[in-house]
Amino acid sequence: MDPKTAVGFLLPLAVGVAALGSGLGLGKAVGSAMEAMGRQPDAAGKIQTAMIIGAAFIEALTIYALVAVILIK
Amino acid sequence: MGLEFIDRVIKTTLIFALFATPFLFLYMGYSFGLSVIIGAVWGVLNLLAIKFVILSLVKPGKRNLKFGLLILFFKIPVLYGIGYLLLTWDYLSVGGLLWGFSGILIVSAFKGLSRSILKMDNKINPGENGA
Repeated sequence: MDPKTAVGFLLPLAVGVAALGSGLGLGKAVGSAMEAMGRQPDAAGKIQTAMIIGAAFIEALTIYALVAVILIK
Repeated sequence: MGLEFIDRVIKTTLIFALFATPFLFLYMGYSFGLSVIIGAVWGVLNLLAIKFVILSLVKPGKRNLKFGLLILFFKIPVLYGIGYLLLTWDYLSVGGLLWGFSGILIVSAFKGLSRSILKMDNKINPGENGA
């Protein structure tokens, strides 16, 4: 296969894998946070803050993957 | 560490970006400086959107479904679409956009680290210890 064609196939796949990883991580984080808030409703503010920061970090990874793909393209 | 932590991170990031921009214009060029400040605003909007989505949808009690879905509609197509356009716009520097976007993450990491070093989250507020 022509290297250019291979890159054309692999780049979207790479973003897809990054998005899949981020989605799984975000789902696990939100699930655990909901469980924690269910156990301790009084600590909801602290749990939400940690979750917001964690979600921002997880999302940033997907955006970095997208940027890497745009740079390589 | 309450929700005011997020607001302080956002304020610090914007102030830092505003202070850094003139120096970046001078030493790194107009395009790079503009990219950094636009990237910082993009990161701040992203964090604000995440905050409003989580506060309206992921909470104990009644959820604010309409507002949460409205913010999701704003965040996913609009914010990412604009991000894609910014990244593919030739005038802006991709490195500058990434530095600006990462600014909010760096600020939150350093703020969290400082709270951890100063043991600010270990202090028990009066009345919380059951006394």
